[in-house]
Amino acid sequence: MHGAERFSAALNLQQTLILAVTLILTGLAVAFAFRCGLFNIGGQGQYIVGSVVGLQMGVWFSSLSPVPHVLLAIVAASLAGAIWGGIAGLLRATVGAHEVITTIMLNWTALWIASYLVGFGGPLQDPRAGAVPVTKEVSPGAKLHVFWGSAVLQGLHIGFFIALAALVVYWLVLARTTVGYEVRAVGFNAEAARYGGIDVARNYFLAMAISGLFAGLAGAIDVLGWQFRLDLTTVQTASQIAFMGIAVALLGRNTPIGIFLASILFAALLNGTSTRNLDPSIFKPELAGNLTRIIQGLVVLFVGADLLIIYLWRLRRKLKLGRPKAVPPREVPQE
Amino acid sequence: MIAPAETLVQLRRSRWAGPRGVAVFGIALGIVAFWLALPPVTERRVVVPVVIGAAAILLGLWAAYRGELRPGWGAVAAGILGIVGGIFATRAAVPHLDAVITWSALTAATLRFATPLTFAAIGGMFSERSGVVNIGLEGMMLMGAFFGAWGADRTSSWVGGLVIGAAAGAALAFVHAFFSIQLRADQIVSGTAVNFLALGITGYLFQDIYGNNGTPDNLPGVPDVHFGFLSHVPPQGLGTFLDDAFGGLNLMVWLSLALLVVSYVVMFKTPIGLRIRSVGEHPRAADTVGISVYGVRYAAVTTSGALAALGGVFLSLGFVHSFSENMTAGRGFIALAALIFGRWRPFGAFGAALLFGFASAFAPRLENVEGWANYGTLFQALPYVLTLIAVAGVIGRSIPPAAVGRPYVKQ
Amino acid sequence: MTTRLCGALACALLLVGAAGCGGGGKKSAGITPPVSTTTGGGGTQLKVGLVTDVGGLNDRSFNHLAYLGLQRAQSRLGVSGRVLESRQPSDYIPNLSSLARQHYDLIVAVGALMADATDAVATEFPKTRFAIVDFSQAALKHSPKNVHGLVFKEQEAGYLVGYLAGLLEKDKAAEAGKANTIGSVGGQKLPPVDHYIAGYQAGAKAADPGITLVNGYSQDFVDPAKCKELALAQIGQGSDIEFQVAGGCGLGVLDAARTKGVWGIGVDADQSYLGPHVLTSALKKVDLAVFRTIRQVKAGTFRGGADTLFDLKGDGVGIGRISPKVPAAYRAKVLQVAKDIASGKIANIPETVG
Repeated sequence: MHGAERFSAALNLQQTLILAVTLILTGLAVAFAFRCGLFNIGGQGQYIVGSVVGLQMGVWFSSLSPVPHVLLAIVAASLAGAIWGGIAGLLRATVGAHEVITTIMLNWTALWIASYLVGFGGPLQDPRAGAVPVTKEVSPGAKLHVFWGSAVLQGLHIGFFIALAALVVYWLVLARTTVGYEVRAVGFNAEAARYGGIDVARNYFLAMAISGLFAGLAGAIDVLGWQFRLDLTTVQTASQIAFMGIAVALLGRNTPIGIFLASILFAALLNGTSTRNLDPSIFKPELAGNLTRIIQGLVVLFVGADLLIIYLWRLRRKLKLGRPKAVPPREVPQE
Repeated sequence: MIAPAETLVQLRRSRWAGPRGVAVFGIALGIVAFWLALPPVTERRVVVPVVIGAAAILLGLWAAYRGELRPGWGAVAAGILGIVGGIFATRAAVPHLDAVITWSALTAATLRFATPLTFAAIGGMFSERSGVVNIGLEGMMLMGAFFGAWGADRTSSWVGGLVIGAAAGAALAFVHAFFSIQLRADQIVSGTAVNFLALGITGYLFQDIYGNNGTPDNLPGVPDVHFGFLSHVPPQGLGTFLDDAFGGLNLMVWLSLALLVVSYVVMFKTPIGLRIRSVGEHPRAADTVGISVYGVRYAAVTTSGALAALGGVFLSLGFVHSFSENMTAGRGFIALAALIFGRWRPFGAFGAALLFGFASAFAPRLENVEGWANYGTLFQALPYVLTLIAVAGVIGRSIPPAAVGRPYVKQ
Repeated sequence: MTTRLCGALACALLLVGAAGCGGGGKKSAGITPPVSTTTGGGGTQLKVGLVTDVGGLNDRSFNHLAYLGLQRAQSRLGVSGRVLESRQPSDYIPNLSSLARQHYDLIVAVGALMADATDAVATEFPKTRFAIVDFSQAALKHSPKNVHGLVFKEQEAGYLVGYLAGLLEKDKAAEAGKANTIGSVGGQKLPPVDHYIAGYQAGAKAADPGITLVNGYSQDFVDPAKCKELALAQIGQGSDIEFQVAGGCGLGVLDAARTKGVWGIGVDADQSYLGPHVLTSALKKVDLAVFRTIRQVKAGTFRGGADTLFDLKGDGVGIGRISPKVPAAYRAKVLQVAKDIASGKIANIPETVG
């Protein structure tokens, strides 16, 4: 491979994996709740809360040495995400409020509060930025180490390993702990679990909190790994990737390996359909963005429909068998 | 045996007397505390909302203590909101308040915000009552918004736009139906995919057909309905209010209200509705008695797409008279929440849409209050926070149709 | 079920991977012309790259205008252009750096929100020329010497349309004997938006000191319904002229003006094509700025480490077509004010909304 091609291949792989980190964690956020029978659409809000808290922890405490500083920021952000998710869990557990409503509402609430904090005149806005709605930058020590590619040009950071570890933790918690057992039992059949002496309400809360923890972690890793500071637009757009986490979790059937594969798929899809990887003579620039959305939609649709092949095969056989009777003779020559 | 009349009295007593009634009264007090500080009453003394709000909190606490937890805490929340709102309102300048609170304009704006949500939520009701989760409402609305505009442009009539828009939404819903019913794909994955598809298809066609100047400025919009007699309703103040609030609403606003009644009757008073609900609650049993589960689900999901699309048509043809990319901006998801909030019932969903619509209409006006200009972004959160409080405090549990989300395998 | 799905996923991954590789191969063939021109000396075609922010190419605002500028340069100056759309903030650096790595002669970043990314990439590729729209080179973190900032005095355009609005409103209100009020709807509180609105308000006050000004932010650049509601509320408060500074969302403001029979004022591009209800538009000629920068690179006069200020004097901002219904005397007055601003007679137009 030539230098330029090699660079472009490396760049694309790095960017794919950076996106995959976020997708793995937001996917886990959906999957964990799902195992408890809850549908967490709240990844976006939990992600935002995590990124704002992670950012501010990264801005403060600049005297700390790197390792404790990063740990502090990550733990604080994960807890913030857990609280945000936990609110939905608590409401479900106590008054029975449906988590789909509460998480959608919490998404927007987080988005607007964060917009206020970051925006013009907000408490987190960088006073040196004038009227530009952007926060201060996280201190150098709190940035995640880049182990592949340029640290300045958004190389792959160690958040990748954190995400892999999170996959293992997810599996361990679900398969090897009492909490995981109870969560799965509630997800399988809440009534039966209740008869079996499991505190269903407590598990609803725990499941949502742990889900939120994963999404909050995703927000922190993004802000410490490559965003470094938040502006109004980033707050409002970067978090939309959390919605893709829903598809990741469900395509991956909520299993760690499935989620890993699905998040690589989606990250490759996002990165591969970016305009820098599209030939402008084929994809007109002003249409390319929408064309790739169509492609994304089709991929999700067809990957999700694993029965399609069986269906088509049966259809074909049915047509073949049925042809002598069903198809009028005069149409046969056309084939 | 108790006579029917007595039962009724007993029922009423058990529901509204005692702690529960007190709590509801507390909630009302909390609202009154805020209301008094706003025009037209415009109470200027801080004490008034604080005292009334405090009363609401006390009543709520008492009710909560007596076991009526949810309404009790609702009253506490309402009391706090009343006090906070009241303090802020009494400290704001009167002309500013008058600019912010014009009840007739607020009413009209509330209905405009609620209309697309109502269409989509009722659409969602058909789908979910038949057992198919429809997270693709957003995409179906968007299809309606674009193809409504395109159809109106092509046929030079808004009726054509309405029909083509609804058909486009139904077509997208049919894709969702095929994948989630026939192929038993995960309904949420399929819905997500459908959303992507709609975003891409409408954006692509919009750019390709209309380019940078957008839809033509002479797009035939759905007309507004003017009721001239409203302004003559005595007394003068009421007449003006009615005329400002209801005198110039779009035809589709009224259509959405009619749809409410029709969908209620269809869903709960006709055999069709019974079939839809039985397929959603217990498909196996429905199958056994000879109802085609697939057929009913296909029909219900397709209908839901057409109805959701009408919400989109309202946005493009009924309200802003143009299409722009992603113009539904998350309304499909709010509609989904409204549907669940309203417990999968038309009037419940409409109530949720109204609450949400009112808060959405109210929130942006708050930044006109002196000294609040910098909190514009924060006020945007108001509709969502209010919905959260309402869900937590008043509405509580929503139980979905039993078979929702589960593909049905024919035997 | 699970194994079957994993199989499907693996298949899909393979497919995407293959498509990505295929695309990559094609892409390098598509971008780098068959003649290897990067070191070829005289007669080579200039390569210009443009990177949009997440607003996308069809934002009806500066991204779109910048693209128009690039297209004009392609047809008039014969440069080869490539535009990369950023779909999420994580695209900024890869988009800029991949263009730099392919030895583009000029890379234009659109929008202040790409400041950090531009700073990082420009510092890494000190020999590549960069331009950034709406941000001053000196304010970049490392103030790299290979970046040229393209900044605009939107307040001057705002002042002109505001002055015209003030003149009209003064007249109308005097006739009707009611309070004179005009309004403006911004997308978000961002510097360019507030420049416009501050200028608009100052201009209106200059024409009619007794005027009442209402202003609001939709917190959105996409959803026209939100902007329309805000505009309707302002019209309900008595506003007779509505200025939109909200991109695609702002189309709702202009529609509100049409349905309520008041004037609307467009922004960024000339929006008079939207109908006879458009009084005029405040122009910000991002297309011109991009075109001129490319011409400088071609002529060899491109100078990094500095800014170009696009103002009324240099025709960088201005006022669009004025509705023919406006009396000629007013046009003359507005033209005079434009001259006064250009000559410096009217100075210190505010940048922030008070």
